[in-house]
Amino acid sequence: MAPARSKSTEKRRNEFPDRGNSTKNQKVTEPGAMSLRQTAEEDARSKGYFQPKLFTAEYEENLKNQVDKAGPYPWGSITNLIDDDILRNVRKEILSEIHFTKKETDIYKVFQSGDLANLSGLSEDMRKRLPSLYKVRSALYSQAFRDLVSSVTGCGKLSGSKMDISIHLYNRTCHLLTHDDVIGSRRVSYILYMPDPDRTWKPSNGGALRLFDSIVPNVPKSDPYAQLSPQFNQIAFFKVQPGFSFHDVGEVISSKQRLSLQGWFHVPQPGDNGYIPGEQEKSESKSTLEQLETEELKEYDFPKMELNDISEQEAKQFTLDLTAEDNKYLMKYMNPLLMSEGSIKQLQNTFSENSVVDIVSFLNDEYATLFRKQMRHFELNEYPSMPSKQEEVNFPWKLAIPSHKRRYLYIDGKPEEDISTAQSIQRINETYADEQPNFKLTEDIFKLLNNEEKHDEVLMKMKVESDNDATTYNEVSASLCELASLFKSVAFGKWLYQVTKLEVLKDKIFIRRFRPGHDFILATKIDERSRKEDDSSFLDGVLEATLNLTPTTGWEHGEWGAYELCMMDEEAEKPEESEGKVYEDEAAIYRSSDSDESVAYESQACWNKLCLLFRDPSVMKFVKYISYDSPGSRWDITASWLCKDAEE
Amino acid sequence: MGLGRASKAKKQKKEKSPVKEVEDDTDTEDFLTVPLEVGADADDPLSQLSALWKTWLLSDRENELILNGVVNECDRLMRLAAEGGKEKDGETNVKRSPELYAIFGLALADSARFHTEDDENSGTAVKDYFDNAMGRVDNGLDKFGESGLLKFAKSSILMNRIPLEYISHMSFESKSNEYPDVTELLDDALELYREGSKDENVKLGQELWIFEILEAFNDLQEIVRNFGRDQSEEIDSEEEVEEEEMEESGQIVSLLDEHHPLYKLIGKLEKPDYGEFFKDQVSNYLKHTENNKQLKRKVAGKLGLWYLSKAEQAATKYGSGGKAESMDAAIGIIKTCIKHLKEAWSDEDPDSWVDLAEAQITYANLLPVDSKEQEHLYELAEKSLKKANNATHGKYTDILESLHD
Repeated sequence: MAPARSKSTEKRRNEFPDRGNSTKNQKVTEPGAMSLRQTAEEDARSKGYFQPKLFTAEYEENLKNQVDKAGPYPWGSITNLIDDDILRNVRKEILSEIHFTKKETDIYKVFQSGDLANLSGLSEDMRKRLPSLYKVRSALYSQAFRDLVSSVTGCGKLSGSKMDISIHLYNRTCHLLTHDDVIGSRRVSYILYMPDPDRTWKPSNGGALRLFDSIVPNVPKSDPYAQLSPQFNQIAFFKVQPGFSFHDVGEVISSKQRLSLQGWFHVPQPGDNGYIPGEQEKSESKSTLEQLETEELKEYDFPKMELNDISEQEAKQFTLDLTAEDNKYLMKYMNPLLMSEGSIKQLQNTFSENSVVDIVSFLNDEYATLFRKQMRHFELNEYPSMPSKQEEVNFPWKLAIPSHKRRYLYIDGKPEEDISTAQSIQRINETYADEQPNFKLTEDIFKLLNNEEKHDEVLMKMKVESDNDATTYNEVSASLCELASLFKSVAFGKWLYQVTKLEVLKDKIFIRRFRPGHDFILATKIDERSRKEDDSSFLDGVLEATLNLTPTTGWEHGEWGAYELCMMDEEAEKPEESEGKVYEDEAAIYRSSDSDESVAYESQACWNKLCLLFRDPSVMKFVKYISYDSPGSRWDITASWLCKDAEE
Repeated sequence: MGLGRASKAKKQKKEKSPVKEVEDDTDTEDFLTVPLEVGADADDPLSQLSALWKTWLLSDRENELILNGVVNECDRLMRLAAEGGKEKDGETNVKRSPELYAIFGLALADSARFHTEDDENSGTAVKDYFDNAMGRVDNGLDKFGESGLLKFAKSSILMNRIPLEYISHMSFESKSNEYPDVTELLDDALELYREGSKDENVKLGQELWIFEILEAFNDLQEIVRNFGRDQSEEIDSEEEVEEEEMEESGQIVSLLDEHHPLYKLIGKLEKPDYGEFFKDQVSNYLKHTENNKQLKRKVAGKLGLWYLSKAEQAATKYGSGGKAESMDAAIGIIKTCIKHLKEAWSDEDPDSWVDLAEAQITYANLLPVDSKEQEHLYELAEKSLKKANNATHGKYTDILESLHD
């Protein structure tokens, strides 16, 4: 990664330095860290830039205690770290001298200093323009401070020559999703916060550093265990631990600027005090890269992506013509215009030419109008409130995990699963029955729940709150299940065949809800496990449909995220490198692209649009994190099918 | 088969034959359906232009191609009119009209926003667009001097020009001799609006862009009030509180010296003239929105919020030792405010619930402590706030907490 990049505003570039979760076959280099040893004189002088309290035995002991006792893994923070005047000057220098550009990918949205990506390589000119920043950099990498951090974290010696530090600005809606920071020789992560020095940063501003416990190594839990609301001149730090040091930066939800210096201390390099030959290699070999390859970790992926078999008899029916009865059923939901021969022909042409077709007004007007009203009413009057923690998600809704790959709510039409602990997940995997989904049954469960609640305490609570509009999720969920059943129907299968000319043989259907301030899916390729070892006559790729059912408006500008985006995996196109990648479904991607040319398809959250696309293995797909600022959830029904080409 | 392959093939095709690709694009992706007004003549080019202009106004206004379409069509019709006004078919008669000049000017002014980065000498800079826009409208006014539509159009162009072309380039150090007199320009814009509103031929409620002049005026006042605040990091917490108090009482805290181009305008903002103009004109516009519920809610909301800020100022005045009459005045204002915010209320818009709740709290604060009416208003407000907080997943937690304090 180059320290300086183009200044243009870019979207979805994947080179954020504060990332871990690396995937196999991806060459991950440490971004921009440089070797630069400071003189003994500089080193001694820089100790004076800290608050004097720091370097006493008592302070060190207290700090060590704090770190040792902290959860979910050892971490600590120091308030009033640097001389107040110096750090105020750093802030002023940065805001007046440095140009920030917005960068956005599947995992983050942040403003970075494009012309100063890594402060390790400060030029003479920049030193003159940023004298206080230079002082703080010296201080952070001074022997005294490194010794303190090393001692309290118990992580071993830290390099004084390998500096690795950059500036980040988080404005409203900026965020960085869960990752573990594990790359190369990183030993300790740190963040020195510089929001407005004269105002307390309140939790209601968002932007907290949130630390995640793990279900098992390399699988972070969904909800944070601890969080820190960053204050001016406060540093937070933790030992980088492969498989454990998961953290994120919560979305900034106010108009305040969250400025920070963020970096790493590295394993001692040759020439450094404490250098041990081979130590860096040992540290790297333990990294997440290796861990993530293991198949066992995929046991912790929910929802399961294996596609369900469609019976041969049913599959054969799909290729038959639509009957009057089929049309009658379909027209209960679908726009009648889509049934006409002309429309089908037109859709078929577009699909066969582009492998993608967007169908607006997919549901018929009458059905769509009522359904939209129902959904919006529910969103505005949801009772109990929208679930924001794992324990608040109630079956038949389920939570997608783990949080360094995905977080959203879904209904899969299958039995309840307890994913709260490693043991319960193990039980599910061991006793995992290849149960066929049944959306009709799930619909009935919701209807039943809805009827029961007319008599139970929920209604009482509504009355206590004296809000007669209060609405539980049961009715709207039942309607969503009814629509999911449409996708499972033979009639729809026939219509789909008419449009795509593809014979579908396996399927997977989900109802999904992406909640503001919580949910996303990082970029993944097709999960090749879906096809298992069987039939090689399947087409190489997956037919996918997304029925967008977001009832709110105003998403077009993209600032609230929640868009679905397909991008080309350029590496996969190079045959010599793509070997062995078929089982790769990991979320994180590092490759950068200098333009949006790699975007193959993009769709903002919207109402009543069906997207049909055939995704080949070179295409990665993600759903961008949905902002707290958004007016409501992103809702959709998504389907995947493995197919044969009927015309071949 | 496959999106990846199709996308790659497209890219290659684009690289090989860019010209053909452009043609393809116009055939498919940029195809636009323009709905005509009910009763409009589909063959009349001016009706078509008007429909295209409305399509732009109702869109998210991010696609400059639509705007270019409007400008090009205006240009074509102007020329056609100059050449005798006959279309190729020889039947359609095109004449220059106030509407044609107005749309031409407004579309050019809207185009300026897409060219803020263009070089000053490029011929497509913000200034060029506004100069052109003013030129078209002035030409129109030469011909149709009494046209209210053209007066509104000129007012709109001026109102947008002030922030985009002038204020956006100002700094703390700017001097008034470096810029035109923005106060004078603003006063011209307001006078044109006032004159325009006398023309009964203009159907206010059908012209969304005319209401947007008032919104732009409101925004402009906000921009001027806050000018320089972002650059100033030196305000400490105490000063912040002091500032808020002063603002509530209607005073403006200015960081600018007397040679600054906005100094005079800030002085005028303290006087009631601009506020009164805004209130009168929004009230007048509101009368013309009976047939458009959505627009009516929007306009009533703006008016309600204007009254809310006046009521807060009046309440602060009363609270700091004012006489009983000043309380009566404050109650009068807040009652009007509540009336308009009720008109603006929508069961789909939690912001409208919160606006009304805030007005109810302001009203309750003016009533005798612990009186029944006060309690009732607090209850109503709290219920609305809770509901809005739930609907927005916690966006109003701070306000709710402050209500309990």
